[in-house]
Amino acid sequence: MSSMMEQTPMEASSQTGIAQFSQNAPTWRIKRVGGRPLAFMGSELAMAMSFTPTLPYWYEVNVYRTSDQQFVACVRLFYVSSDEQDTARAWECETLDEAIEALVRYDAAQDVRLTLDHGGPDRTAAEMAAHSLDLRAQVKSYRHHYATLIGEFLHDLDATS
Amino acid sequence: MITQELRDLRNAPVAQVSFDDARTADALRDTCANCSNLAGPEPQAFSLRRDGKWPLRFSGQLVFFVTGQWEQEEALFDHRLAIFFDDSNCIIAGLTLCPRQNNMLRPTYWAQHVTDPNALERLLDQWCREILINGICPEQPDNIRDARSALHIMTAHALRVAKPHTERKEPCLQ
Repeated sequence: MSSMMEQTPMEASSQTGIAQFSQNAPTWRIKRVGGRPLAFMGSELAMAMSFTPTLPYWYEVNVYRTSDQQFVACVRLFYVSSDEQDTARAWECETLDEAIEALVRYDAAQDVRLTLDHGGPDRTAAEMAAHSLDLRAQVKSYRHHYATLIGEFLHDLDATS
Repeated sequence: MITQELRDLRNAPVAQVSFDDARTADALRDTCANCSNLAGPEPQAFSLRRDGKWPLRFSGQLVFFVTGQWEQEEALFDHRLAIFFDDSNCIIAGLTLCPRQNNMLRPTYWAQHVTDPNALERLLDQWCREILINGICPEQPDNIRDARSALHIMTAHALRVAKPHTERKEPCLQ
């Protein structure tokens, strides 16, 4: 988990105008799947997680505001098993609405691990169909799991403080 | 965790009632059951949680509310079904399924406008279908029938015991 994100102590900023904000803002570094790490200074605005003791994986979503008044949305996937690789995806957004929309539109289907079972040329059509159905069930399961987290997050966000 | 800073950025709305509030639901249910000729409860602001979406917010009245338990393949669920009229007399349905402890599932929330006379029936069929697809119940013929029957029985019971405000105009079916 700690390998995906690093938070360093505050760093002095030589820029005027945002110096006051920067002096109190930690630095975040998010290692993204298939992309360069996203590093920025800012504060975390929100966090929600779907951890359930009986489930083998869970999601965590975060919203940050950067020191230059932009926003970062992040989706992390954690596994209970140490044999699995946790992942993180993050996006820079100009507005808070864009950041929240990025979380809502995230498709958890891309987190399904595709395992190729090389059954050879003797694999029957029924076996291939069964494998396809299993993949489809996993896709729906991941999407449902993530959707429950987003629904909970948006409900809490929409409620009174 | 949602910080006050984030709420301030979004200008948090005024206080509203969630139909998950048991005390509110009980009070409204008692009103509906005991007062067929009296004026209905004052409209309230509701916020219905929905998976993958912003909550469905509206102002209106709770028509009926039913809870129960549903067992499927040794998995126990608490379910809640609620029907509302909003201020424009449109019908809104909300359904919640909460797996009991030690179940490898997360609570599921649905809420939707009911747009035609047969829509509620189709919604129940759709939600039953989604329940099966999401793996709460194995998709076998007996389970399909049991899941759908359970929700139909629950709705029929709620219709028998509920007494909505009789002076209300015909529902708006958009």
